[in-house]
Amino acid sequence: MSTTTAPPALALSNLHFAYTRRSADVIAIETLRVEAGERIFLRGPSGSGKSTLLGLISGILEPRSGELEILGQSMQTLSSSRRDAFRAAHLGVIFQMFNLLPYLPVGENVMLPCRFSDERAKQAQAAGGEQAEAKRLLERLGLDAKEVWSQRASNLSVGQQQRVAAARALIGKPGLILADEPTSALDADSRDAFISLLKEECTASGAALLFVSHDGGLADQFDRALDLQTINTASVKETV
Amino acid sequence: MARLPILNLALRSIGNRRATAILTVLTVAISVMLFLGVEKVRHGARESFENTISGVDLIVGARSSPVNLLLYSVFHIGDATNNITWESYETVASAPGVAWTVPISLGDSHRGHRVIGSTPGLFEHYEYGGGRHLEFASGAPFEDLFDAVIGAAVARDLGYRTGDEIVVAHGMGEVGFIEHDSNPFTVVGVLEPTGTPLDQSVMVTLDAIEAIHLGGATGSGSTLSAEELRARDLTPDQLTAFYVGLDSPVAALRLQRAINTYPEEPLQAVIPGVALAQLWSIVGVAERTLAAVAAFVVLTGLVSILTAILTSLNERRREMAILRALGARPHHVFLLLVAEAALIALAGAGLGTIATYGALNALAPLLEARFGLVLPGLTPGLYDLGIIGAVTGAAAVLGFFPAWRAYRNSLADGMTIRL
Repeated sequence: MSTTTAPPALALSNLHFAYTRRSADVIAIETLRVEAGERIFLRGPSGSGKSTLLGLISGILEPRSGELEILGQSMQTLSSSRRDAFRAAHLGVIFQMFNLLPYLPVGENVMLPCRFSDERAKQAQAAGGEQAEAKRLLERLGLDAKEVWSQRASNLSVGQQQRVAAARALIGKPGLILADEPTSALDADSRDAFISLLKEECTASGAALLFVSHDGGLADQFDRALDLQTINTASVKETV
Repeated sequence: MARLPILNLALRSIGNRRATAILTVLTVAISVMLFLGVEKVRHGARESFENTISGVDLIVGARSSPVNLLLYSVFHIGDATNNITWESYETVASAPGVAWTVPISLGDSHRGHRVIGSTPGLFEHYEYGGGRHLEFASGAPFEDLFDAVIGAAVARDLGYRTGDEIVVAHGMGEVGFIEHDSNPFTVVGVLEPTGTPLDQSVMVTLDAIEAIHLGGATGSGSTLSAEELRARDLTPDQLTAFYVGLDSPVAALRLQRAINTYPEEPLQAVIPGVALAQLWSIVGVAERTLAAVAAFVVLTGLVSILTAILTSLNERRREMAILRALGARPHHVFLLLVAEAALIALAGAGLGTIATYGALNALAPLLEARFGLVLPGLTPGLYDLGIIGAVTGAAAVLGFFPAWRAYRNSLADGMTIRL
């Protein structure tokens, strides 16, 4: 598949969402588009509907109306179980912190997406095997794979944990990486290092990146920057 | 969703909360141990009880109630309402189909232990524990007039050995007021423990009972010498009861009816198994209460699993959100928690079973030697597997509750992680 014909990683139009049937919209976005392989910065202070939007994109929440396509797949046409499966196969998610299951060693944490999705497992196999691919990603993200492989996730520093989370999001070549404030717990130096490594690896695996943060200062490091406050025209502010 | 590692995740997650998990497993193990232990001893006691006497097809005595006859003729509890005549005994003994009879004459005691007047046939035909014969720890059955055989408990409590002389007293009680002391008995045999009332008994010949009472039933006993007594016809006039063995057990019902309607004397014949079951239905209440208590203890153990999982739920919301983000479906979250509850219960029940059988195997020789209590099956069987399965299943069902809450949480939280 060449990049010119690849469907956009994310395309939504006239998307409306409210938490209950009668309440006012929390999300009202006319259009938002992320091309395949594109790396987008989405500025979203708290209350801007950031978490809700990520829930919608990942298919955990269902929009009230509008169109939402991920990698060319319309999410509305999928049942909730198909959406879960789709998310497992095509999305990589990185949270603000505490991304890892504390009771699994680092290696198992990285390979976890392959357990939930055959597609991710196949992709990892094609890249040289789950373990090899997990180790390669850890190394690429600046970790000593051998050293951290069997360690409990909780033994790592926050910065290391975020890198492991990035490796987990990237394993099995998902088409879209959602990063929700992944650097807010990091200091400035490791933050910039993390962002550049993440971008590199997204490019290397052909994944689009939607990087959400309240910190507008990071916008320069991405292909394009959007402001959720501008594109989300809903009057009610998210309370979460 | 293939290769979904829910079980693996559940195991790891339990391992992560090792201290709580071990305590919970121990709680379940102890409760299962108690339950299985009670069950084993209960069945052992019941079997031991119902096998107090076997190989006997009918017990015949004066007419009262079957349980009463059983109580005095086998368990030596209470007294006979009436004696039966020797003639009636001979009539039944010579009835067609009767293979053997063992007469029993009660009424005397030795230092609180019942004295049974009988024939050597007692040692031949009395069976207990499902076909086990009486065995001698030392000595042999009585032969001579003033020979006595004592039960294991009598020998242990009073420190008697073969060759010792003992004096029999009239009536029951620690201190006999009327002692047949002019005719002492010689212990010629000591029985192995049986777990039956015979352990507590002194067995002598039927003739001896007659001999010591020649001076009159309430008298101080015969003053005649043993030699003089031997010369006499010591066939008794009366008996307390007798055991009957048949050529074919099928005839038991017919003979029972014949005895119960015997015109010469009000007799009663009972089938030991039937009467024992009847008696057990009375004394079995305690046993069933014990079982119910043990079952509730198991329930307590199961509830402790529930508590352990429920208290961990809030701190695990993040874990659930991560799993959701990785593509786990809400029902996987549900299954994860059910699996955790079931695994803890499985480990607890397994451990409890192993510990129970370990303890039983260690204690069995002692129980048998001391109480004659033979525990059925000292290796885990289908029943125990069933218990393990039931405990695990019950835990899984109880696990639905925290699982449902986690399911609801994960639906509500989605990938949002609330700290």
